[in-house]
Amino acid sequence: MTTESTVTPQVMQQQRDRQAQQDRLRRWLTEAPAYALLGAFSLSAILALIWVLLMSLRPVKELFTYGAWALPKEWTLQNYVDAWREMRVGQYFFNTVLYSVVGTVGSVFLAACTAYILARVKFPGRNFIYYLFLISLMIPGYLAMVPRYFLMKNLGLVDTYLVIFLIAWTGGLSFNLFLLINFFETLPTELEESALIDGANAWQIFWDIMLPLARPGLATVAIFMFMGQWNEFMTPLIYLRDASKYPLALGLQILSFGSTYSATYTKLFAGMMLFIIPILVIYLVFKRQITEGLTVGALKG
Amino acid sequence: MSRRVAQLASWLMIAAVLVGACAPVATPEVVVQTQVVKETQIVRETQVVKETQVVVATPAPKKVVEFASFWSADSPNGREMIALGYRLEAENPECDFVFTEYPGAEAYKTVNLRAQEGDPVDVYSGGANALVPGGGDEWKAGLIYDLAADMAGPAYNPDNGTWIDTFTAGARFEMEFDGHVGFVPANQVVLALFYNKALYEQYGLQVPRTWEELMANSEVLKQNDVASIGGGGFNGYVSYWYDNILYRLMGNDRMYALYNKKDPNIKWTDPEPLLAAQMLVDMIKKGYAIDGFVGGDFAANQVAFFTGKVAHLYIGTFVMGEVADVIPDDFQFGVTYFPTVTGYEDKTPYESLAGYTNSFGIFNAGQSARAEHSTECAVKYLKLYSDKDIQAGLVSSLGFLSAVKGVPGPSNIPGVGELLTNQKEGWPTNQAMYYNLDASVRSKMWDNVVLLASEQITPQEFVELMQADYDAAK
Amino acid sequence: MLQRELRKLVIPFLGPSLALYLVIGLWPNLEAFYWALTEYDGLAPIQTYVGLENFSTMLADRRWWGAVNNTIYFAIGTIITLLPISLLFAILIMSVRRGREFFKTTIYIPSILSVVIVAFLWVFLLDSTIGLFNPALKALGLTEPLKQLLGVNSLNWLGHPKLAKPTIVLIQLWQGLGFYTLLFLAGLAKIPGELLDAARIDGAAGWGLFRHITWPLLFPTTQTVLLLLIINGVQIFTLVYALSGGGISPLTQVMATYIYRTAFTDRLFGYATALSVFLMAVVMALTIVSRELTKREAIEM
Repeated sequence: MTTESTVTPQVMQQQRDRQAQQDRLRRWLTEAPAYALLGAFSLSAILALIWVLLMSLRPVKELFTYGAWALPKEWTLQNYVDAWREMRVGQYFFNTVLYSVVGTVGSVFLAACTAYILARVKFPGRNFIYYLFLISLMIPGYLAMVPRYFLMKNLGLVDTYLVIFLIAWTGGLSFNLFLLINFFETLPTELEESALIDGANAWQIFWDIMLPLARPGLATVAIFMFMGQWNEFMTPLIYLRDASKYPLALGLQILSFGSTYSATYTKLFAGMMLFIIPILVIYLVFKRQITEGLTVGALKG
Repeated sequence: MSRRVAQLASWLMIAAVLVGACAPVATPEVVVQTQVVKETQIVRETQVVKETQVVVATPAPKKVVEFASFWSADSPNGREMIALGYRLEAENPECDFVFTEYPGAEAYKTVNLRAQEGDPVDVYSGGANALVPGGGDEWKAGLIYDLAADMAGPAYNPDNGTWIDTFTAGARFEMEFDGHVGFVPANQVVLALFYNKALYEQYGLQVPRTWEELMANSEVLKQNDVASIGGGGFNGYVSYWYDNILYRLMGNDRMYALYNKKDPNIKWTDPEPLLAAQMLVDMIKKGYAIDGFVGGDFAANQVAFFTGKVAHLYIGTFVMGEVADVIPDDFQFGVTYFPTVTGYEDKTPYESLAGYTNSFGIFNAGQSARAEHSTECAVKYLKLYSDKDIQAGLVSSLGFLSAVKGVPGPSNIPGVGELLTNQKEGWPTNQAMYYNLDASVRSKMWDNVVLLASEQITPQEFVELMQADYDAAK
Repeated sequence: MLQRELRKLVIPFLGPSLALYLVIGLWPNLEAFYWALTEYDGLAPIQTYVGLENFSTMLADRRWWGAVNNTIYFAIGTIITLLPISLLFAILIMSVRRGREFFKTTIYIPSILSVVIVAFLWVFLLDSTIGLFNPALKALGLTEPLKQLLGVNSLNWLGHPKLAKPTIVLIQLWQGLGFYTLLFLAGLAKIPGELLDAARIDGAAGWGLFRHITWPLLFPTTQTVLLLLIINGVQIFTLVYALSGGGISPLTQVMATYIYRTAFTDRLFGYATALSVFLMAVVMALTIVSRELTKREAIEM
């Protein structure tokens, strides 16, 4: 008697559970291929990095004795030490940091100044200059490769740090301007007006009022410039001669294929890790800005 | 906060500009004036404005000998070259040795560009692609110092006679051209067929003397699922196989004439170049070559041999320096001559080795706007390097094959000494075309061989392409 | 008032960037059209005017047309793989309930890596001696079936004429997938949720929902992605260069690498510039054509 009244909710509960279970199962079944595909790709990216890491932690002789699939039997950091010192990866690393930081700071500053003028100041010829800057977006970089090389050569700039900076500063200018002008245009005028009334001069208006407001836009530009500079390959390939000025991308290329260091794969893998880690950390820290900035950049351009 | 960051940023900018601005200071300012003449020509007048040197009363300025090294300063080779530099400075107080690194396969290009721009290094240590005397573009442009007069003078140790006499005949063949001497050999390389002794014993194979025997061995290995032919990978290494087959078919003189466009009656469309192409393709079609033979990583291709994954490797003796770290301790291998072809045995002596010298070239300091460089010091450095006793020391520490007469061979290639002792003919690989033809011919030939080896073109098409490229070559 | 104050900044702000841009950015592009009509080896004091000779040389240069052919292969191969797969991945990521952030993060990792690193990674992964791939296939007994399936006598991924080009396309797919997936995700995020809900209430689901709602609304994104793929595809350089260590075989030679080799190895600077003028014309033509084609289709929608 008492059982009947208690069983019914239990049965209902069981039915509900079963229903929910079936739903879960169905959902899981429909989503399984999605998970499989996405998972496989994600795994390939992660495993590739782990493989490079493992390879960099074993002596080279082991690689040839046990093959690429074997885990290191003897763990060593010697490859990193050798790569850093002997193979000049330390020098390349320093150069890469220099090119990335100076290239980024310079081009962001240049683009911010220029974008501010073009976005907020009315003066004769403004539109003409604006379009002049945008022309470059249409032209593939290879067109000017040879004339620009000889321009730099005649200026005595080939094989200097400055040439890398100059090309970084001007290379991304058009695109950065395009992004930042759009950004500055969205800022309200009232702030500038009231700053002027408070006695600020033009520089103060720009530096103290507008630039802080433009920070999100500047951050986007900066992150992209930095990642681009970190990975830059062609400019140093064309303009640099002296290996002591090479960035990592070019230095590793030389280490990999120059017969000087053949068969020192594990050291090369150590060099690769040193190249990957900073950019990976930056990516994981600034993930949101990078993914958002990316879509802003690409979809507008 | 943001202000701080911005300030910091602007300081960084300024610092960057300063760093960058300092870099070009060392180079003289070049003023280029461009004016249009007759609408059809641009004449570039290059005026070099020299830096005014402020000479304070100090000891006489030292003369720089800048050594552009293919090796890193911390490598065994680099350390030896620097040690020699110290010795040079100790013996010649007026010389100042400077070591600059130019690593990588394309480094020679970089160094040559520096020379063209009037700021050459003094000594360049090149690999096989480096400065070749006689016909190279750099030679023609007058960028390379002619060592003929110095070579006629005494060696570092006058007891050894004149400098030129200290070198082996094979090396002299490459160094001398029309009475000029283009470079000092750093070492010499001979190419040999390396074979895996364990695999040969396991399958009861005999060391091949003819191409047919090599192919028969390859068939046995293939049946047992072992790759036979290794040593490709890099475009040029595939070409080595073609060169060698052709050498066996044509003989040295006719092949030299063909490669260097010396005789209009010898053409690529002749029977031998076609047959050589067919033989190469045949070998690949039968599946005897290792997977990466065309287009793989060439170091990996070499490693494959030393780890027992492929039975043969046709490669230069330089390989030992590259793979020394990875050879398993119990690995047994032998070296032999490249096989002859049945029916063509009379064309070449069986005991012949292809080879070349790695070179130390000197750039004309006269080209340089910088007066502080010294060709004399460069010559002294190279004399020191090629001294017989010093070479013997270098060979024992670095293990290369010396180009100086009477220096013992390296111990790490069993049997190579015997091959050299019995050698009846030495011949240069396809680099010999540098002597007479423009350098792009070689990369074009490599392109064609890759197309051939990857069965994109037929042997007939290959020889036709070669002929077309040769017709166009200067 | 404000404008008058701000105008003080025009010269100091615009001056440097405009000067740099005109001299380094824009001028060499214009100069290129003259260079294309000359012959110069970088050594001689004289740059010789040769008229259209470089262009007639180009017409007869079979290596160049081989490179053009390969470039077209890579561009089309990348478009037909990357476009649908990245769209699919974007939809899959939207559809899964868990791990969305994780997939977004990991999928983008290959895209942040330097092309040089990606190239090394694959050179080594695919190498028959030290790589992971071929030994694994052999262990699984798949080597022979795969050879038969592909109709090749060796699994020489980067060297076999039948495999080299598809392999490079797949490497590009691996590296580019994250980037384009994120672009599509951004596009999908812009589609108003109410619209999709309304469509679902009307009974649209699965393919119908995609065909009639998602696809047309996503069209601007698709257009952008297509344009980026074309422009980047035609200009591919670093991957091909780094995969081969500069010794590029004619099997994978592309326009950009051939231009680089012509200029800096063969020292035919005038001819190289003529080739880059041609490359520019191709990029511009493709941009216009693809814009026009997709525009028409967008109207049909």
